[in-house]
Amino acid sequence: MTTAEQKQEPEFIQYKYPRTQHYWHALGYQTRAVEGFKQGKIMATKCSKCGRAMVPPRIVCPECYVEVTEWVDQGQRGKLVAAFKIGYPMYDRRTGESQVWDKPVVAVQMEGGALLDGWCSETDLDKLKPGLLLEAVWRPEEERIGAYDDVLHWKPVEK
Amino acid sequence: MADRVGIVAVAQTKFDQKREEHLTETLVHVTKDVMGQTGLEFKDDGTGIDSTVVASQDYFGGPGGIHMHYAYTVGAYRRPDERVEEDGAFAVAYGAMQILSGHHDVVLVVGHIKESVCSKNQVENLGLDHIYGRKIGLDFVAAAGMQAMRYQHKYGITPEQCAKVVVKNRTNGKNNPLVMYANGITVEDVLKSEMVADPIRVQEAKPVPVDGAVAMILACEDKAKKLTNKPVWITGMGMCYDHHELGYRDLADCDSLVSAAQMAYKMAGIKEPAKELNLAEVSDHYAYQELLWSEGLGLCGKGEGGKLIDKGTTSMGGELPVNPSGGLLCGVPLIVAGMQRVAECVLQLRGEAGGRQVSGAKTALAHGVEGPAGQLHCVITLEK
Repeated sequence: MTTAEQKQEPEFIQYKYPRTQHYWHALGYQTRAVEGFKQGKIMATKCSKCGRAMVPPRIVCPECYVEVTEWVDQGQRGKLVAAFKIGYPMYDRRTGESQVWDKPVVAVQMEGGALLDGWCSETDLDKLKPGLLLEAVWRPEEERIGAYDDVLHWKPVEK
Repeated sequence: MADRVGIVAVAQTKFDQKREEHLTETLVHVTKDVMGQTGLEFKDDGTGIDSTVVASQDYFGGPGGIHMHYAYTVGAYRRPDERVEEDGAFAVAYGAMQILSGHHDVVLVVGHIKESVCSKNQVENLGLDHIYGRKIGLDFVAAAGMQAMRYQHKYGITPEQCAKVVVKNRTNGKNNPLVMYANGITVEDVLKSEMVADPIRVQEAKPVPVDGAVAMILACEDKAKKLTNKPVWITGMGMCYDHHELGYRDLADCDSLVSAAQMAYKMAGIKEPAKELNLAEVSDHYAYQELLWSEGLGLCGKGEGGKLIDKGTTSMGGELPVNPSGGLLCGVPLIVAGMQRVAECVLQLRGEAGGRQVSGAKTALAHGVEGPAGQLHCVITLEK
């Protein structure tokens, strides 16, 4: 047997980690945003100095370092900034598995000023040009958990 | 390069369960406090805070998630920002090194954790080897049980001596308005309490869960003198890691602490710590550890931790009070623990420790520890 034939492939072992570890995140000021999702609203905090709308809501403006107390509803619509598809499997928190999504990812400039991202129902990238008006499609109320993925996806607004 | 590093401001939260407060709210309160004391904010022109070091533990934020909220909350957005996934005393040492090396003049150091977010035992299980200790479900409580058993067996330390540590610290804590678990417990109460990891009883373990944060501002010598008329100087620092695996160590001794302490004493010029120090704040995650760590720190000889508590040496009014604040046994979160030891020493040396003040304190020692059965230690000596 030659040296090359004796050379072994590296060995690996896969351990499963069936671990139930729950997290109880104290919401504090974020309660308003979480309750907003359950009601089908995207809530932002707004800096009193620079006027920036922040999603996720921040208690301090990262640019101005002033404490932020004003809340603004971002509305349901925004303009498409960019759209692209992802070719590798991505984690789906609701199933715990990863999958390749046919839906593209979109960046959306909201009516209220915040820049968000999410999935888009329109799969033809040729139809997703910057400036296109998009609208949030929410999961049914009984399926909402108080998180950003209560927004099922964004869809182009029909003229 | 800077000559000395001074601590010019400290702030602590109350240590309790902050179930109503998002962690950024805790951070805003504690960092605004130290900034208010000094009038400083982050600046990039050398007139404010130059840099920050933060200690926390990602597993307590949801996997990989606790540090993301830090920089913008404290005003450190786009500033030099180092993260320490160890006890907060290490963050203080790293902050001091940034100044001693000449990289920065003024550094904000923060330690924060919410133990109430998830199971501390499960997090600590992840701190063990993934093929061995983690697989049999060990955690740091179980590791401490093994260490306590070995320590008591090798040196004849008694359960009563360990219980006396609890009584001393819970009594001291009654003078500390920031802790929740100070009380008038007796040795009998401790020894009758539920066993959690033989021989450690529930009253001999740091209460869990506890949430909180500590912040402090460090400065080079000339700026420290301008920022406060009561700077507290870091005179020595030492850090050392031991074997991770418990079976590679004699758990009755703490070789890495001995090394860390010697490093700090050499830097500070301390020859006889028991005589030269006026107080020590030691990380007593478990009662026996205050005795064992006192040995490692050279406050007594090997195996003599029990005598130290029997003689009253470490009590308030003793020759060398240990944990006048009440220590971790009165409820201080992990990670924050070592940094809070430093903060308490600063208050002592400034004469601002209120009812827990050690009269005439001029020198102090703060100790932080992390890892199973005291794997790694950080020792910081201070003077006014």
